[in-house]
Amino acid sequence: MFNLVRNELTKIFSKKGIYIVLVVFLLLTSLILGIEKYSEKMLLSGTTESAMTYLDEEIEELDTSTDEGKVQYWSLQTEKEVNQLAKEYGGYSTWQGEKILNEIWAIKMDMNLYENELEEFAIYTTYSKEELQKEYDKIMERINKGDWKSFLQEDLKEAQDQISLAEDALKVAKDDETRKEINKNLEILKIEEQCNKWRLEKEIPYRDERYESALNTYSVYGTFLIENNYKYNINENNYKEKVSDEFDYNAKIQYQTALEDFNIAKYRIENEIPDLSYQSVSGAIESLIPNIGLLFIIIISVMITGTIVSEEFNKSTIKLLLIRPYTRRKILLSKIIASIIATLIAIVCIVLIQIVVSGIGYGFDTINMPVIKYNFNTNSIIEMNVFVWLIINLLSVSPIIIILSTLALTIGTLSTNSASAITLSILTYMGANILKQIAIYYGTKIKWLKYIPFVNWDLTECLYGRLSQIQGVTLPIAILTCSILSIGLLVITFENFARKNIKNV
Amino acid sequence: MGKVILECNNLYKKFGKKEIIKNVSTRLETGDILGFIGPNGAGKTTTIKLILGLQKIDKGTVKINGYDVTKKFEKAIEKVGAIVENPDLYMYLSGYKNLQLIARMYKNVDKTRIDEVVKLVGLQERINDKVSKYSLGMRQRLGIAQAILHKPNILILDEPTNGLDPEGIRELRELMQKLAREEEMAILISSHNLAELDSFCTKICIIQNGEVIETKEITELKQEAKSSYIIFKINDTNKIKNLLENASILNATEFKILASEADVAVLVRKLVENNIEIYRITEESITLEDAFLKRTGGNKIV
Repeated sequence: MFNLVRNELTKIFSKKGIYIVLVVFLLLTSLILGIEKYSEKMLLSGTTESAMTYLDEEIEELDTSTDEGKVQYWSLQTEKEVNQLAKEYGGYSTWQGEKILNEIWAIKMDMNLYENELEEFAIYTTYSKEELQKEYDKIMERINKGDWKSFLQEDLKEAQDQISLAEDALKVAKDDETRKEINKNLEILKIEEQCNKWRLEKEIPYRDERYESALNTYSVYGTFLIENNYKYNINENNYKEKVSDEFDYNAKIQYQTALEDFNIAKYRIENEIPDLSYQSVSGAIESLIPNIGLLFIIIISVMITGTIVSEEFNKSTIKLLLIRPYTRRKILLSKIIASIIATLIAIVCIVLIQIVVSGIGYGFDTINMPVIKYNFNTNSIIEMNVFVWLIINLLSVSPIIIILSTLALTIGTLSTNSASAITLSILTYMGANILKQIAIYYGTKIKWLKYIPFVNWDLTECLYGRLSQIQGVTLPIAILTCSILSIGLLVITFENFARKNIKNV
Repeated sequence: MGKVILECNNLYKKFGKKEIIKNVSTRLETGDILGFIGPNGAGKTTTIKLILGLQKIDKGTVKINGYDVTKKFEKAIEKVGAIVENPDLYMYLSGYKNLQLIARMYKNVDKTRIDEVVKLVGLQERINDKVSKYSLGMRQRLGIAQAILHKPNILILDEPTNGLDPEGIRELRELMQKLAREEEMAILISSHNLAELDSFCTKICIIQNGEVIETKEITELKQEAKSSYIIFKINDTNKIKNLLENASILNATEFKILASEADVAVLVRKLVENNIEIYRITEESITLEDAFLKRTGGNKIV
């Protein structure tokens, strides 16, 4: 038996197919990395350039005979000047750029209007020309000194002022309804306050690429969660059970996503784990399966199982195997075992290619970045090594791989046609994605959709107590129905193979 | 009498409503080389496939080395070497790799045995080339190497002479004879061409429309083929009509008659006494094929 498996592996790895797919994967990952690196560079330098030429064109077309035309002209002229200024500090993706955008722009606009006798159009009408200039110099001085904290302290103070205002309002609030509204606003304000506090404590300037998205997620989803909590009277512990017309299944899924992202963002900032998912080996591996990794694994596994029986029939070599002292069941079993081993080897190759390519791109030390996931059962954060996650991820998508490769084996055995086995299996995968979309929309109405393996086969949908996008899909249902389908296909394949007549050529 | 190696009893096979094999029985002993002869579509390949368990037997039994092929398949097939239809090879592998794959499926085949067999079929120089680069003859030889690798005691070859040149056929014959003699193998060899086989088979089995028409030892057949008819060419065969009762007239000047050498002398004197002119006397020659043609009712076996 061991030797039979060895023979099958020899045959699988003597064919070119797998190698070609792996090379394509290598080229594709390199290409994706190249595009990412290139677009990063473009973002840093290119955007202001193209914006400037666009502004120049706009200005040329303006009719400056009217006041409106003149205001328009100066508005664009200001934009140009501000752009130029921001460019000196590294563009708008730096904290200086952010401040120039938020604080300087309006002042500069007014200054230009004053200078050209258009002061009736100014924004800060209470300021004189000199006062504007002073304000401008003050802000620029802080920017030049690199004093981003002073801006933050201002923001923090503003938030705290609003909080104390709200607290005062709470004291005088008459009815529950108002109190509730104020409480909600207080919570939202505290989120804002927390963000500013964190920036100061953990030295996170504005536009800090390590934490910018986490802080943003924290405040946006934090607000969303608070609003939902007050509106539907729910929280992280009971949102799954709560049933109402308004808080429907779709809303639950949205709430769940917000809950997850909010908590992960919070954990990242608190524990100072920057989100480098687009710039690290670890991030590349974490997103390998959901991105193109799964597709490539499916292609390879289907190529192996779709040909492993059918090609022997096509080339008549099946006779070589069937006149050996092994029963047909043993021969088929050895082929299945060899397919599993070969697929695992292919998966290892795909992971290695991803590591090498992203390692060259981002540096191999970035492999240590942990993966952070949220557990909906215990409402807690799970931090793990990226390879632990990779294995969990692979196990969760294994029903997809197992069902499709078994399907390819079954079609290949029944039809003895490799092309149709591979094509039909890949088409099934594509069709399943469409079917899944249908199930997401109609899952609430058509209850049996959740029992279709092609709909529920992605276990990541309901991992860690997550509510699946398709209503009613749970881990036991998914595992059970997928197992029944795979075993059914295997039984058909074994029976067919054991009884097949080898036709005359 | 050698040991019985293969025994087929009343094999019967139907495809849909069409009867392909009707009660085929045959038997092979150590040292036998059985020529399995029949026109295309007679059921040779199907019979071989039934023997090898490649198709389901509807009725009848096949026993190889005492084991029933349907019940104890692994035991029965263990000492069988076979090529069915064409030598089946993995084109993308080298000749050596092909042999290695087969070797791994048996316990008793090691590297030295592979080398030995490669030498036996004369493929030493090209054995590491990919099979896709082989000529048909070389593939045929590699197929035989594959079939005999595990020292089977019965070799089943389906149309092995296909694609071989006369030199190749001669080599194949020699190899077969050597294997039958030295390795005590029983060999079943099918062909639609009797002339290729009659020189080295020990037994001939004729199959037509799924039925065995004849099974005979080759010596027996040869005896039968020796007709001992004598053909006389004379001036007028009308004259002997009343003279020689058991002569059969072929045409106006020729007749033939069953006669020993002594009879010929008597006949000549008799003809001369009756004033018949004798131009030529020859012995009628008959090939194995002619002998069979007679039995199959003139249905040509080519």
